[in-house]
Amino acid sequence: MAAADNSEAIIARIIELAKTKQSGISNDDIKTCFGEISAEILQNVNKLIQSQVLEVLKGNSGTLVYRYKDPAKKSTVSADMDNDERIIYNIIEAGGNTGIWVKEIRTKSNLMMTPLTKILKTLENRKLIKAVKSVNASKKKVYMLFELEPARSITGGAWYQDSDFESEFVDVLNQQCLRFLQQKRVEAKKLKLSPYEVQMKSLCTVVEVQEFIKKLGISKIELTEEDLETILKTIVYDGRAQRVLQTDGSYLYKSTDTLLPAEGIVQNPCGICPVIQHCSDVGSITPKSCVYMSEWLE
Amino acid sequence: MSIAAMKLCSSILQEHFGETVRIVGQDLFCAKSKTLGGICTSTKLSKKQVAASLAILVQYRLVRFNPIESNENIAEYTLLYDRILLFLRYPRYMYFIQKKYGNPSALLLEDLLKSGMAIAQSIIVRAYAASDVKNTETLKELRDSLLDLIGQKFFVRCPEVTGDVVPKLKVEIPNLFLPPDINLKDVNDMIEKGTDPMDVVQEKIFWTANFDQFHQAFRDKVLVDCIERQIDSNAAECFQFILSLMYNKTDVWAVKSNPISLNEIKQIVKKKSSNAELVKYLDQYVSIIEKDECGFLKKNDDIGGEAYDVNMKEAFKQIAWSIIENVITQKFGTKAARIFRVVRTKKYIEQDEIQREAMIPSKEARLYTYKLLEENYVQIQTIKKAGSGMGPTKNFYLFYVNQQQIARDLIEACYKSLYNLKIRVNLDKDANKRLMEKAIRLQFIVEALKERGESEETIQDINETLTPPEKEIVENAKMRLNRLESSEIMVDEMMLMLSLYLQYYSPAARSFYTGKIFLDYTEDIAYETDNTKKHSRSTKSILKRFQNSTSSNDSQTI
Repeated sequence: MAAADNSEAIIARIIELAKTKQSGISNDDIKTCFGEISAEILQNVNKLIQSQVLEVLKGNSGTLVYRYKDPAKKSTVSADMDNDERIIYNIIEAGGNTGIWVKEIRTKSNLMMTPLTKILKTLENRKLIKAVKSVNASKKKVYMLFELEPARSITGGAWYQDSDFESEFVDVLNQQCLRFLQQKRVEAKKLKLSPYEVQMKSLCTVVEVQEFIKKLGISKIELTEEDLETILKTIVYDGRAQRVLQTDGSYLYKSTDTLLPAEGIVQNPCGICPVIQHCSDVGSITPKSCVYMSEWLE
Repeated sequence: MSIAAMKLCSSILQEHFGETVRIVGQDLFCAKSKTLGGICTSTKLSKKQVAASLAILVQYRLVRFNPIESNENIAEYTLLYDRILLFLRYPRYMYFIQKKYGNPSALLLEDLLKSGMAIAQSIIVRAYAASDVKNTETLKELRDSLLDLIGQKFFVRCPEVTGDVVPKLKVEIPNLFLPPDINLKDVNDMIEKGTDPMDVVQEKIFWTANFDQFHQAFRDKVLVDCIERQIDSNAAECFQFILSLMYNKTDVWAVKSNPISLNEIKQIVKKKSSNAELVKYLDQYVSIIEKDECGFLKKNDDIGGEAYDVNMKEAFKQIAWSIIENVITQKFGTKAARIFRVVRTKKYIEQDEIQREAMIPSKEARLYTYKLLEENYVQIQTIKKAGSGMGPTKNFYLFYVNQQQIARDLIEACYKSLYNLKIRVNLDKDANKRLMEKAIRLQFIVEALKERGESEETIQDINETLTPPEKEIVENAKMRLNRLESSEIMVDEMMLMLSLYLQYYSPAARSFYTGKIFLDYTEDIAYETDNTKKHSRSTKSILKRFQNSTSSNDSQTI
């Protein structure tokens, strides 16, 4: 009975000690704490490791260190896992919600490919982990814990549905934002203010655009400012808006026209001809019998 | 210089001067410069024919001549091919003058463009013959218009001819726009007696069109229009005043103006503008133009007070971007244009980054990027990872844009497109030649009948000799020609802006907008005024010879 009391006290002290040191405690720490390392203490440490209160890590100098594991973070399923599975599970857990690639798991775990795939499959079947396709590379599968929500960098954020890019959604948003900017500009011009005020009135913040889109109700999901900033940038890249830097480092947006109207060479068929390189005085592609030109002249 | 440019020049020469001149011109185009004998050998034309052709080319300032190095009695000729391209712009010159100065000025310009160079009296006599109303009032109007055009620097004195065997051309800069003395009574006599002014006038001063002045006007129009599109018409008016201030102190073709102070702008606007709103908000307008993305105007911080620079170089960079992006939008669609702008803004960018910035699905983004790459609108730069071996995965592929190269490519495309249009025009003209001629003859007859006061019935009868289907063909052909020709003018406009851009950005490129009107035409420029009296000699030799030889070729000209 006394022995059991003693062991409980030791466990409590070890946990206490481990909690104080984030990086983990070494044998030396235990020694300074207890004065000596008895077999009893070591037994209790082993017990703690088995029950996953402590985990064993290799310290800087090659010595073993024990680190306290938060019971909240502690894997719920552990009893029926063998050692290899646990290692893999831990590696995947460390990957967080950005996931981890098979190749990386292999190098970290030092396991061969065949047993590794087997382990991953069993873990997947037991719904402990899941495979998620990354949007950046469609062939690249990453693993993460089953209950985690994949990070934006993996799913691509609001613009992806099941790892497919929703270009229609982006196009619609692009058009609506542009419409909003143009509206603002037209309204500003109508107000008959001084030219400087007209310029200021036609500038929009991202928040204004966000509110406008929210009111329209075209988006099922909540769009963040960041999301709308990317959309506004596409309008800038379309040459339909200007991005004006403010003193506080943020940007305002304003609709503009292109510097010149589209004319010149693009108004005649040669400007947009797909086979202009092959066009010459002789041969089948020649201005004399050019179908594009005939159509244009009709 | 390219095959496309050569073909275009050849077809222009053919159109305006006929086959022989075309052969000579094309021969010269292929060589840097050639002697008369050289041209005869390679073209197998007779010496007389080649000499006549060269005379025409000299008269229209399309070739330059210099004594060859080994023998100063033999001249070699160099084709100024970019001057030939100016023929495409003639309709624009005419339209511009007509709009700005009215019909008499347009008549004068038309005659001068037709004859290349001429003395003032000849221009007036011929313009008088072409005008609808003929009385002393018209004559006076024509003379005043001519003096006005000279005053506005649209007409310029031809260089003086010096030297004997191979003449040298001498330009006296201060006298270039010195108005001539035109006696209206003499001119009237010439018209009444039908004598050629060339035989009568003693002091012959030859005049020619000053294309630079036109190009400057076109350039200003483009800039002002841009400001109007970007801001509003008041700002455009303001910028017009700023430009006029720039020319007071700076060379017209300078890359950047000397600083213009806000006070100067205020003064000139107050004095000359009737636009109350502009006067009221002038400070704001100037600051808005300065802050605008187009970068036409920049604040000058070097000197005290508020002063601004007009930055032509930056302006044309932006205009060229706009042209390029318009072309891409029309050719490949808005998505491709977006990708192009992404690459342009990011300077060097990887493929993955492009689709993320442009928000275009990866497959589509790659398609457009490679399409742009294929047509040389974007370029690829490979960067190898240090220390890595071979293999494609080890490298970075960065996309970037080379604006000057795109501009050059586009100019080439313009040459080709213009040539194609010309071919098509000729084809169309040939196909309907008979009917078109018939229609024109008919029109003359009808007009003559109307003048004589014939009855409606006879006129109707004559009109019906052209059957309805024939009429339709004629109408269609006319419409097609119109379309082709107006398209030519538009392509040429784009070419002008791109070449202006290149001129500002690559001084190495030979340009014809140097601002020194005869710089590429003669080497001998005198800035002194001491020998003004030598003008009488200028007609002595070569110009007279050209005049004579071209008068026999007049049927071939325009």
